[in-house]
Amino acid sequence: MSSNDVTHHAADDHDHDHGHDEHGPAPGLMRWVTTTNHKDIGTLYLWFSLVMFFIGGAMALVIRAELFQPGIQIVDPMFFNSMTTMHAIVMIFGVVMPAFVGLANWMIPMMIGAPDMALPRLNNWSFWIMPFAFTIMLSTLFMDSGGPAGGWTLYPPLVLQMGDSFAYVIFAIHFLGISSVMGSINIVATIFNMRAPGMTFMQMPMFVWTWLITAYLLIATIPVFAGAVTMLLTDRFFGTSFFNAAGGGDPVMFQHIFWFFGHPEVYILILPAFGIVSSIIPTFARKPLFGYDSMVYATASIAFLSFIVWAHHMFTTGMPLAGSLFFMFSTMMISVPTGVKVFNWVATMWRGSMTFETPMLFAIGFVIMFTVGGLSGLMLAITPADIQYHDTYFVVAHFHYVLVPGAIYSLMAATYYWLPKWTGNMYDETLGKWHFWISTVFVNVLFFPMHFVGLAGMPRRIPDYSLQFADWNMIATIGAFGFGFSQLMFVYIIVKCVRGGEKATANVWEGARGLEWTVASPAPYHTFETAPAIESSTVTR
Amino acid sequence: MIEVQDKQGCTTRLIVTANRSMSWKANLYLAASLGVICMGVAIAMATFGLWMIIPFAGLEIIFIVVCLYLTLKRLSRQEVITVDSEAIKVEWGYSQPDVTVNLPRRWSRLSYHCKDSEFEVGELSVSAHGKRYVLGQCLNKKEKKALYGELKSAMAQ
Repeated sequence: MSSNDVTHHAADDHDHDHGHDEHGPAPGLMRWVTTTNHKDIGTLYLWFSLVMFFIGGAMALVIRAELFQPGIQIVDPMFFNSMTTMHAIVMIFGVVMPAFVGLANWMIPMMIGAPDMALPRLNNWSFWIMPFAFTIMLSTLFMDSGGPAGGWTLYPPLVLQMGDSFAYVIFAIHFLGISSVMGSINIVATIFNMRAPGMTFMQMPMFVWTWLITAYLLIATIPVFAGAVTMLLTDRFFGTSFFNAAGGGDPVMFQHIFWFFGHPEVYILILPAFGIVSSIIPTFARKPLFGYDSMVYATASIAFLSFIVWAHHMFTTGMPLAGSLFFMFSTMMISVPTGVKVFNWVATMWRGSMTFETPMLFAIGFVIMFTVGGLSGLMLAITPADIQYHDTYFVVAHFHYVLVPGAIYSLMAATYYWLPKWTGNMYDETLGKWHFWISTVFVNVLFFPMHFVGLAGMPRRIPDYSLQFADWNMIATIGAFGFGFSQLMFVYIIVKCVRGGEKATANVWEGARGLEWTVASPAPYHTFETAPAIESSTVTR
Repeated sequence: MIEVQDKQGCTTRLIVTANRSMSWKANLYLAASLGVICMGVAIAMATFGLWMIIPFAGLEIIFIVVCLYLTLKRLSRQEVITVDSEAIKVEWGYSQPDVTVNLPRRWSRLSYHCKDSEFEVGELSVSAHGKRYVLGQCLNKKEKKALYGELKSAMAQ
């Protein structure tokens, strides 16, 4: 044979370039636009959510500034309502969800020994849809009719009375849903198909497990939400009457479908947090996670129960006694697997060789304050009590305890925990501890008084209130500004760490386990292009 | 992953594939389970008159199937390198080769270059008569070096 003999057997698939093997990141800004690398996309998600955290936080400060004293002082009521609505949408869809997706992008491939996400281009799209959707969403605030002001729950008929922003908001919600579904399917495909050889499901780290279950929740509920908002759209613009009582529709039905999506959404916002805390506590207690199997089953149980409890948001709407009892008991049942988790975290710490670096402080803060939020949730599950608490600041206190010292604290813990792995530099531990303590003091000053004003009967979503609530509201507003401004420390610590600092080793924390700690710090641009072999004795979780 | 499938006499066959942790059949069950969940919810809602959820659930199921198919297809691609006394044959394809390259063994040159950077995994290639073909694109630095070693010893025989 004197020359090369090349045969193309099939003409349909020649996207594999056999003569070119470029591996470094693209130079300049285009790196971030065109990247398909899971670490780059994870970084984009995390920065995006940090920016949105400050936008949503600024909205919260507008709300709290108005509530500093009784009476209408700073903003008009319509704008106040827009702020409460947008604050919720931004914090849920723009901060907590993208931040968890960012962590999933960064960590899941490294934790399961995969080279990247299963569908890298899809991954790029699922990120870049989000800034587009949020630009549309936030631009509605500048419309003549103002932004959405009917609450993030979008209940008809109120939401159908919105101005021109209505269609834009629905459009943006659809795009956010598409982004979430794309991200979820990518995560499911990655976890099922790209685990390292030998890594069984019960060897996966808890963060991977919790994200897998979260992805299932998203896949199951997003079409419901998409359908619901589309029906709102057709009711408004195409003359249908899905939720229009005058046309034979039922507005209460919207509440049912909204909360069929909305309650699992609550767990979408917290299950990955459970995974993060389950990774951090064993590291700093220097013990394996207590009851790993029960943690997995508890997560799955919570996910299952989240589908059969939705009507506890609607006890005051009215329902048959049997329905009321069913939803009350099913809601209370959630405390069992959640209790298993809290017990396991405490048992992991029990007699551990504990140290209290910043990630551990945030994780412990999470366990304690999430439990506070969980207990007030249990109170709200009781139908006759809920009828009293409904739509009061007690509910606001409950879900903020679950979401701020819960989900947000877990995100901060995760950032401090994995930042040395991402950047190759150690963050400033002293400043990190200051950040934790200042945040913890102010977050309690902010949210704990809401229990008192709520139990005393202060309704939520109003810009004005009775004089009797004035003192606690003033304290809560001081807490809000303290908490808000203390987050500037968080940004400073991150930027300082990215720019330099003491060099981190591969296994940053001496008690850390799992595959992500076997690669160098900072993690190379490409990791595990060939999967590591996992023996049954290999510690991967 | 590198599998040395056939090492007898002067013929060596190496099969290079990306790691895949679940079979096609298991993925079919996965897609079916997700489909049952999504469509079950949508149909239940439709019985209450909220039929508009069904198209979204349907679209999502189609999307899931397409995504899983693309993932598996990409992970199923193989690179089969056969080195015998006369030639080096490299085949790329899924269930059967869609591209085949035959190189004269005595004129073939194997090379592995890697820049000293964490961002680089290096490039392993085989060339002959001015044409160069990259091998083991789904492998990492360590595995590329291992494949380089295997091929080098096979070509030296």
